[in-house]
Amino acid sequence: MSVQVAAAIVRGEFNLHVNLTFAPGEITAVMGPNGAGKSTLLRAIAGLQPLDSGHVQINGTVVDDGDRILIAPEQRNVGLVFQDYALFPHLSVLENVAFGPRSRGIPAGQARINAQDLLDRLGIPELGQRRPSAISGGQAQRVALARALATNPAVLLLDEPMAALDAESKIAVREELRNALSDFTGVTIMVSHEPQDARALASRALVIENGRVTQDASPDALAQDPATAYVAALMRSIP
Amino acid sequence: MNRTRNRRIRQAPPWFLLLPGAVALAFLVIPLVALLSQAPWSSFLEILSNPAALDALRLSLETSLLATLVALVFGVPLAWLLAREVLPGTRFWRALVLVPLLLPPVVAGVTLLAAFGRRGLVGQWLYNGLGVQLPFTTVGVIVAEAFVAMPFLIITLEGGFRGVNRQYEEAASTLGASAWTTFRRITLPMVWPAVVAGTVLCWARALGEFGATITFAGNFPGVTQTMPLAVYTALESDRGVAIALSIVLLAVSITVLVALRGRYLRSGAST
Repeated sequence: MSVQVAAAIVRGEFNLHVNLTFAPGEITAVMGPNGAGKSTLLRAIAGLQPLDSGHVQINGTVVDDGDRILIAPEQRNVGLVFQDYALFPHLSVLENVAFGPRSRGIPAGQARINAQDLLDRLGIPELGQRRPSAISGGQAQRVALARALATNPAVLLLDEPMAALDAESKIAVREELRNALSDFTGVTIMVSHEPQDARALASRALVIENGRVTQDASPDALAQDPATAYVAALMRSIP
Repeated sequence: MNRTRNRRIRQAPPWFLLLPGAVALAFLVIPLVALLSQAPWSSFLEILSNPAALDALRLSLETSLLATLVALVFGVPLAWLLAREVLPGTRFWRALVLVPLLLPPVVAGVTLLAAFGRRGLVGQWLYNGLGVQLPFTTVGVIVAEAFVAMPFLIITLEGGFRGVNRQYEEAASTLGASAWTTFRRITLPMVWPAVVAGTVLCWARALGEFGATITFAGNFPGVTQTMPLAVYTALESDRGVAIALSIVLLAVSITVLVALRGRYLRSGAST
């Protein structure tokens, strides 16, 4: 249950070159400036961004080798929580969560029962019949998480899960996210701008600058021994 | 401030806008009023239950609905292809798709003859090889209507597809949905207002189609004589019948307008 990424992606001026291995149960926070390649890394693992060279390996299976092999996202068993959650606006919260299992052939009734279970576990049992437009940002994040977890993914990717929230709700939501992630046994990779997220949630912190990994350490080591000026400045910004 | 604003609102509109504007309004409304005032109301139902009129009405409904179905089956995929710019030279194809929209319908009929006539580019092959003849048949009517009406569906839907945030489709694929499931359960429901608006516009255009139909399919009662052709034919013998049939078509137009006036037309125009 591990993920191995040796990726090269070139898009005009921008290029991403990384070589990383992620272990199951490990929660990795990926940090770095805007445009450094954090989201591109997630998209490459999810199958939304093909590699130019290198490979992505999930549980020992090569899903992209930059050449002949390119397994589609729907075949990868990877859950992705989008930055603005991308909840389907025309489906109820329950149908959003049931969407993945139904797409994988589970009968609608069973998928809805499982979805309701998941909403119960995440502490939002009452939201099932609401539309995504009628719930708060913190609730939407939990629904997006429930939707991604509903397919039992081997890898859970979170793209700035806190960015769409206001400062006040961030602290509470971070705590809830921590509880939800602690039950997950697969690989978790979370992109974040904020060192607080890494400290509270992650066991490993990864800094990507300009398409290269500049630091790969524990969240605490980042503060004690910053490898670059960017990391040092980032750590000083913690209140 | 408030007082000046109120005074402005009460001011009469300038005569150089009011006068021509009123003329335009009268010009557009008077024919509709005239049509209703000259209608043979006493024998209205009698005229419409006459077999020739019923034939034309039935033929019009059948052909326009089938033409709309054809437009949906082939036009929805083309609208998607154009919106996603997956074809090389999308801008060129998009412009070409709009040509039937601007083409004089008679010319559309001539182009259809050149393509599907017995000696046409495709038609000679259809006729000699398969024994299929399109011109001057009921199927020919459907072809003419679909050719003229399909662009309405395509441009309406292309706008709809363009408005869909790709992230929803990406999310669906990471959740395990195949391309077909994503299209059916995510993309299509999200463009539903555009589907409805495009379908109704397409159907209304097919129902009113005259020039391409009479050129390509002819004017044979019961076979190719649709309502607009029947109106035209009736004018030469019985004005009352022509007016009664016209009122039926007018009623359809107004129904479409009222039906689309709500969220469908507005959301279709804004996306």
